[in-house]
Order: sequence, then structure tokens, then C-alpha cells
Amino acid sequence: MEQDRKERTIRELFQQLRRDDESGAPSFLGSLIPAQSRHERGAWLRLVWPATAAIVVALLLGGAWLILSGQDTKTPDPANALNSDGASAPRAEAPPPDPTPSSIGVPKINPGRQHRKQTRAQVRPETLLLSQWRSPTESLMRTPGEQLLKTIPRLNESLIEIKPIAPTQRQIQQKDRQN
Amino acid sequence: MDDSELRAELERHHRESYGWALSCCSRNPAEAESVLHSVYLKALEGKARYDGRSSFKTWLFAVIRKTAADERRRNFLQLFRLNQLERRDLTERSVESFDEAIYRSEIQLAFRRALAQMPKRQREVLQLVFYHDLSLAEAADVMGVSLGSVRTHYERGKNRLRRLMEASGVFDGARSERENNTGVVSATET
Repeated sequence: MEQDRKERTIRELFQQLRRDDESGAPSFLGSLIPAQSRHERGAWLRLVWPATAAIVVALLLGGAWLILSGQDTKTPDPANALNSDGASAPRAEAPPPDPTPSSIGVPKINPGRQHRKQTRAQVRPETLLLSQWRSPTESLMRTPGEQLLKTIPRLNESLIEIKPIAPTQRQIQQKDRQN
Repeated sequence: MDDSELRAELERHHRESYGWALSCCSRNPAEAESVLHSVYLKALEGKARYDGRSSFKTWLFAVIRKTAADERRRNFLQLFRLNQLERRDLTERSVESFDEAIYRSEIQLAFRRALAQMPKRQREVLQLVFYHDLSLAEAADVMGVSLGSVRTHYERGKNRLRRLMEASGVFDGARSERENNTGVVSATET
């Protein structure tokens, strides 16, 4: 009996709570309209996201291609880089295509590609200037025995002429005659 | 179920949905509204689809419960960040509840306090049964647990709530209030 009364009281209190909540509830449209606007915005975003992602990927690929192509043009020409005199060596012209059968199997140089490389080098003259550059202190590197170091020694031959300090017998006789 | 039917059903259960959302969001009205927006959005987008296996109300309540849990999880870090703000908000709310106490019955406030002290599962079962008039089987569907588990939560919840309310003297207050009301009714009747 007592238990039933308490349960009934609990039920009544819950119903009272329900009435209070329902009186403070927002209108259905007030809840639906923000949801609808979010739904519409979401639909727009669903279209925008893939487009943005595609643009970003395209930009990244473009940037990567630019960086890689820039590195390719900065690579110094080996013909110029190995020139010890500093003078720019004439560019080796692409050999004319060999019509003989022996050229089969040898990788052919694409003339169009060669031309592109040449034009790139023309566009960037600093590549040539770099090979002509000489150090301002290069003269300091010259030494008296430089010739000796640069030539190959031979048997029974001396590069250095050793002049005797003491006068020879002939010179003494000549001096005596003069006197 | 087409779009217009779905809207009609949502509108029919809107007030009750709000009450259930309030319960799932620790009686925070702003959070409850946000959860309702998300639920309506899910229903409109077709992310949550009613398949007719249970009643619409049961399905809708299950979606609300799951959405509230998701949002609570999502806002977990934000709650940490806004800890100070939340504390201030709580004090404001307590002031508001003090003001409300002038107008509302003390019994109702004690009842709300007792409900807030209860474990979540027990509170949910009692709310679904006493507030939303669902059966235990329907409550089990909403909560996604077995019927036996719901029955256990229900019995334990009732006992606990009874003890809490006895401790706060709600039953005595309720009895005297009822006696007063009946006295007023009998006086008007005579």
C-alpha cells in the first residue's frame, strides 16, 4: 500500500516534470529550420570539399614539377665544368643521325630535346659564366718549381740548368789575357 | 517513409523528444536543442533511417540517445577548455534555480535533485517508463540493452529514487500537498 503510494507519487512527479519541460520546449519549426539550413550548407560543402581538394592536389603537383624542372636547368654542363682553362668550350653539336645499321640499338639523341636543353642554357647565361670564372688569388698559387711539377721527367735530361758559382779554368785564362 | 511523413512524425513527437534530449544532456537546454538539431539533420539526410522494426518513437529516442552520447564525447575536450566558463554558468544556473524555487514547489526541486544523483542507466529507465510511458521492452530497445538488464535497472532505480526522496522528505511533503489539494477540492465542492 505504502509502496504503491510512493510509486504513484514518483509517477506524478515525472508527469509534472514532463509538463514543465513541454512548456519550455522550443517550437518544432525553430528546431527544424536550423537543421534544414545546416543540411543545405552541408550539401554545398559536400560539393566544395572535393573541388578544393582537387585544386590543392593540382597546385602541389604544379609546384613539384616547377621545382624539379628548375633543378634540371641548374645542372651545370659537364663540357664546361671540366674545362680547366676556364674558357668555355664549344658545345658539342649533336651528331647527325647515322643511317647505317650499326646505329641500331644505340640510344638516339632526340634533337628536339637537345634543342630544348640548348635554349635553356641560352636563357640562363650564368651557367656559362660560372665555367669562365677564375679565382682572383690564382696568381698566388704559382710557385717557382711549378714547371718541374707539370712535366714528366726523362732520363739523362735535366730541366734545371745548374750554373757553377766558382769560375771555370777558361774564364780565369780569359781574365788573365784581358789584364 | 517519405519526407513529408517523416516531418509529420518528427513534429508529433517533438515535445517528447525535447524532454528525452534534456534527460540525455543532464538537463542542459542548449545541449538538448543542439542534439535535436543534429537528430533532425540525420533524419533529413537519411543518415538515420527508420526501418519499421520498432515504433517510430522508440527509434527516434534511440537516435537521440546515441546522438547525445556522440556529442558529449565530441565536446569532451571543449568541456575541459571551457571549464572556467562552465563553472560560471553553473553558478548562474544555481542562482536561477534558487529564483525558480520561489515559484516552483520544493518537492519538484528535491525530485530533480534526487534524479540528478542517480546512476545514468537507472535514471534513463525510469524516465522512459514514467515520463514517456514506454514499456520495459521498448525502453530496452531505446537503450540498446537486454530486457533483463532493463528490468534490473528499473527495480534498482525505483528503490534508489524512493530512498533518496525519503531522505529529502519529499514523500511527506507530497502527502501534505495532496491533502491540502483534496481539502481545497472538498471545500470548493461543499
